[in-house]
Amino acid sequence: MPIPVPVLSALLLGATAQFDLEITGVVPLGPAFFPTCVSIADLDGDGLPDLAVSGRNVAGRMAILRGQGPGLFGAPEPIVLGAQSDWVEIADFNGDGHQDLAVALRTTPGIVQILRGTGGGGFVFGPSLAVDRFPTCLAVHDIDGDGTLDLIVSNYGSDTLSVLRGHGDGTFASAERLLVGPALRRAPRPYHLLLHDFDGDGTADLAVNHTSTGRISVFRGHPDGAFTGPRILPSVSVACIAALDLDLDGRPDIASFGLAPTGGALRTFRNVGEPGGRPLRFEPGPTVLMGLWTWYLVAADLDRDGRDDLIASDASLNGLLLLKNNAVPGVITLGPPQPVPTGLFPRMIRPIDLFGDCMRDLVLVDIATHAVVVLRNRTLPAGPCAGPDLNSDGAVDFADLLILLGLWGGPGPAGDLDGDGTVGLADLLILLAAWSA
Amino acid sequence: MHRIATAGAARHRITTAPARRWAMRGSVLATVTAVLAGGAAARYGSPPPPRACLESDADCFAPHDGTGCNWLPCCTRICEIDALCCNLVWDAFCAEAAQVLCDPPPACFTGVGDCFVPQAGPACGDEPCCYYICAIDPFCCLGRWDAVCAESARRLCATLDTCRLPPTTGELEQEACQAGSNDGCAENAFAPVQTLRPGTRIRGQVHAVIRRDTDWYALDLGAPTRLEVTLESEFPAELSIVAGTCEEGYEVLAVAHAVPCSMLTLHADIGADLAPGRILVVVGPGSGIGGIYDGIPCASRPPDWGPHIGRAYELGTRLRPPTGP
Repeated sequence: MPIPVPVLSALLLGATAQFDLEITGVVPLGPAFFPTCVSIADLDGDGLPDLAVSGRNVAGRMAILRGQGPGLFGAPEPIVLGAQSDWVEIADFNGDGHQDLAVALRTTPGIVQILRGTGGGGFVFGPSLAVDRFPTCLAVHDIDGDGTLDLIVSNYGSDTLSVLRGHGDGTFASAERLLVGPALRRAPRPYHLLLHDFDGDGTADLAVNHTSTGRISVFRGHPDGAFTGPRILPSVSVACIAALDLDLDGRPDIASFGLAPTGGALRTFRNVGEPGGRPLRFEPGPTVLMGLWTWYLVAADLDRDGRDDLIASDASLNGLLLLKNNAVPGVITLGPPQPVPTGLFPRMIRPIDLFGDCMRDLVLVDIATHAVVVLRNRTLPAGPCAGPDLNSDGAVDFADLLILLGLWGGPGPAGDLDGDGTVGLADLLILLAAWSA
Repeated sequence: MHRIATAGAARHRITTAPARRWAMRGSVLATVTAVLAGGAAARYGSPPPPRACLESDADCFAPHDGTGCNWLPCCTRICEIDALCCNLVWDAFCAEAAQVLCDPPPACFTGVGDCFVPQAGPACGDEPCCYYICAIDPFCCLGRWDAVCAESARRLCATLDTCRLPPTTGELEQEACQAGSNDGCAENAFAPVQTLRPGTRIRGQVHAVIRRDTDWYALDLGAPTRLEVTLESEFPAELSIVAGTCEEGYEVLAVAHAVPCSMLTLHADIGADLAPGRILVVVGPGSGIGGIYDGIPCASRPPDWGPHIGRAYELGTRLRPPTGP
């Protein structure tokens, strides 16, 4: 039986605040914009991050917001697409040094619209890529290792994903189809997709949620860009998924959110497959009671402890729920959800360091208040960006341990991983916890 | 180019008291009389519609104390889903179900243009073919008859209403229509599967009413082997070979789609022999863009519901020697 919102809210509000996030900016997008996704990169070449925002509005508009300084963004500059848009990604698809946009248009037949960057933040229409019904989510990656960026698209109105291989000049091959839910009785309605190397073979695998059947399909990626499977995980009612190492075993696990009334819980799946391309295997992990209308989920290390935490949006609580990852190797341990009011319905969230303090801040779009919201992360004072990876070589290992011991007893910020002003035992434990990751 | 002759459905539609829903929309659709339905049933050899659907004069879209309602195709369909609507009372559930389900794609009645090429609007001019494709892909009638619809039509309409498998000498599937007794992992809870013996053939049937039937067959392998599965069907079919359990999740080893009345062969051992253990073979209605979730009822239906899509399939398996080390 679902817990009433007031009771749940009281429970959550009683939780210890483990993160300190403050709203530092709200940029209105205009009435009835209904923003659905935000993507962040320097679009105009001025060294500041800019925003591209898609929207499900009748005017078929998306918007560009130029960065104006740390955490500051200018007024929205509209781009008329002519159709509602559900997702936008930024990348240089044609290798000309200017960032381009790929936008999923909520149309049937579905279209991914490429907008070519012309420098200075301007865009012209590029190719319209045909996909299946109602594309809702995009991912950009070089899936076949040919040095050019490819696109993966989830098609909500079909049972498919579309794989569009890039040619490197801003054009793409015709879409290849992947069936999301073979052998199921209902249409899966794929929505949110992720690319991660789940089997540790060096190539990206692909996970996508079914909003209808509540399952998760995980496809195994191969070096030539092909995907096989999927492996279909049991039904849990899924609105969104995130990949992160929940048990500190070095392999990405999956966290998923369920929609009310059958959802309301964050569920975890431990990656228990054998490394090196063996069959993908996941087993259910702990479940955490969450809000009642959770929607989006993303992983980011909010406290620089080397462990990705979870950030969820919840319309019933009008904001975010933050879960601290307290895992020790082999054991999933998540802290209680910490609510952070941000508006009404945060639809999509991107973590990024906007203030240059090595903390992951958050940029979100609120589909109900038609605004972009910037949250500055003040959980820790400025410190080493690499976290426990003190030599920034991509691994937490013996070399980092030696560096930490060399800084022992000092005031930081180098080596002060917990931000308490001293390099000590707590920092050593953080480093050791992140060792295998 | 192959064209499908228009069946008599539209020509036989009789304009008596229009159903409220259609009247509100200004539709030319009208109620089909019991007389016509009875004739159609006799022509198609299908069981008669529920008695309540023949006798009721009540509105399908409003709850009432009686059974059945006055729009025969709608009534028949709802009672197929929930027999209580014809046996006990036409309650709010029945009325709501009618609101949702008694909504055949009206575009097919007014569609124009060659079904085999994309059109500017929804639907196309060949009504049976239009119905058939819209059952597979509703967007062809709700959105636009685009290139995907035209491709499906070229591929599938040639077998419309003509593909019937010959009598079988194989074993029969043990699931009655809508019994759900071999649905495997297709739903949330694990359902039984039917055991399949290598080398034998199985004659089964599927249906698709809101959800599609999927028939799960288990094949227990005692030694490393290669597996070849064949499928011939009267409907566009999806054939999957999977391994795993419902509780931990299952992996799709291979999937392919069969065009009606053509033989599909699928190998589950690409690149390596199958390890000993249980392999599951799953058959369901589907096409290259996904499953078919509607338009294949258990019983034959009046022609006003569009063409009759066959339900039968013949599944075969063959083990081959392992490739060895």
